Amino acid sequence: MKKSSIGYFLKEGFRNIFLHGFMSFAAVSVIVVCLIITGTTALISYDINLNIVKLQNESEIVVYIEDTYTTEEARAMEKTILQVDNVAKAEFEDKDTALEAYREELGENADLLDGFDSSNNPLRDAFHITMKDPSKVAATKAALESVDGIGNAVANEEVVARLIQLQRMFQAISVTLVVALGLISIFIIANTVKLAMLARRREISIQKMVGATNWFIRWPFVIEGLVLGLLAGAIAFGLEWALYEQLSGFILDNLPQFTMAEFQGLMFYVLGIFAGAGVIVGVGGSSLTIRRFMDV
Amino acid sequence: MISVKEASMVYDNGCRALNKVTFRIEEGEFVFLVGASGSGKSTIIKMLTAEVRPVEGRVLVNNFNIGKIKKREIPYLRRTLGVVYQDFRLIENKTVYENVAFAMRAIGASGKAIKNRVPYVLELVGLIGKEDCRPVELSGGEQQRVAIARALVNNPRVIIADEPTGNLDPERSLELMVLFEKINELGTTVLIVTHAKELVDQFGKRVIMINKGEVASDQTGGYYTYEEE
Repeated sequence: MKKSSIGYFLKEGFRNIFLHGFMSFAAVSVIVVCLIITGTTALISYDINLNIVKLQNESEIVVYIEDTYTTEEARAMEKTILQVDNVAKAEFEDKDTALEAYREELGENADLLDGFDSSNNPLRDAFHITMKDPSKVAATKAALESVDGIGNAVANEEVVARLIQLQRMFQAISVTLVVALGLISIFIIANTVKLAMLARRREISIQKMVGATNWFIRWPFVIEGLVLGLLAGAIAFGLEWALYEQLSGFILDNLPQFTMAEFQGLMFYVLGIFAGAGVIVGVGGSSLTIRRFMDV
Repeated sequence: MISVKEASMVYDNGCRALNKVTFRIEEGEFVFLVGASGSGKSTIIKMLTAEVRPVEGRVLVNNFNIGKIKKREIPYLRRTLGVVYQDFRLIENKTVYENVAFAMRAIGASGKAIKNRVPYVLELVGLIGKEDCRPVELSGGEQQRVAIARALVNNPRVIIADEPTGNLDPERSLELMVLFEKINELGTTVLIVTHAKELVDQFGKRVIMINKGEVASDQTGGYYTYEEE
């Protein structure tokens, strides 16, 4: 590209945008809406994932040893438990320690446990299991329960499973929206550029007649698509920020235990992705049209 | 230099527009291409500008082989040609100056080169003082002069004019032909497709007559003797 032509391409690209102001406005609006919908869905999916990871990291499996085992026999089971697939750590808690902990937990109501001591402790010896991969909680729990001497195992797998299900749903919605709305955006941009090209058919045919290269003719239209896409990306970023702040305020007010990422921590990613998506949609849409118009 | 040897052209619908046409135009020549409507004159122009390709034979234009030219080479072929059409093909919302400058801009000329060249070409075609007019404010003859200025501005080796006087009265047509003669005297090869029998006869230049897709006659200093059927 010649230096002397860059100014011309930019001038023509911007002229095209204003020549069909309404279509440009429509194109930018549609891309903004598409980006906000997909962006919001993706951010919520990201937040759900944060909560899943948090829960998984916090989650452990507690296995209770059958009461026919003495405390020493129960403690000796550590080696066997560590051999179970996906078990990273097994921390033993004898039933007397558990009774004391329970008594502390009950606080003022500790008198409920009056009369219980090591001779008649109703609790059982247990291991607190930390997993290598917390998402395999169900399989690990089942494997532990099949070990001789383990009475039962307890885990908060249901909450995690529901969150995973919810996250999968959001991911599926995100992907579908990205594809569908992306295609709609490309179509709108293609039509906006098509109008600009139709309005300038005569100029294009004259340019071709006097020996302009295809790229010389294309650049202003590529720039038009690029500017529209970038503008839409920037507007969508600002609106997404405001929307996410509102949304996270609402969610945290109603679900205080839910963790939501700070937008400021993600802003450069969001800006980059929105700008990139805007450029891809803008340039992709204009290129589709230009290709068909070049055989003038 | 233009060299057409045994060139034939068949359109996609099967219509044979040219049949083994042969002629050669040397640098600096002034040639009229004449013939009835549908005889194949416009197809020859389209072939010379690489809008269509010959199905057989060989067509050389300023060292570009039209039969084998690559798409990306076509712009560079066209830069060696200046084409003028009967309907002028000017951009209505641009001034005379802008219409001419547009052709230079289209091949990536710098602003400085445009400022130097456009006034010179406008003076050559007699349009000084009309730079800021829009096409609609000009007469047909003046509009055609803008089209000629645009064709000339990139300093082509050959000017091809397709029925340039078709929309002009006899007086303006004569003025235009004189202008083409002047351009030719400055060293540019000129090929004019026309129906204007009287003008052709008046100038006494080389005349290539096309009839039913074939060269019917080719006489230097000849006359437009063809009678439409």
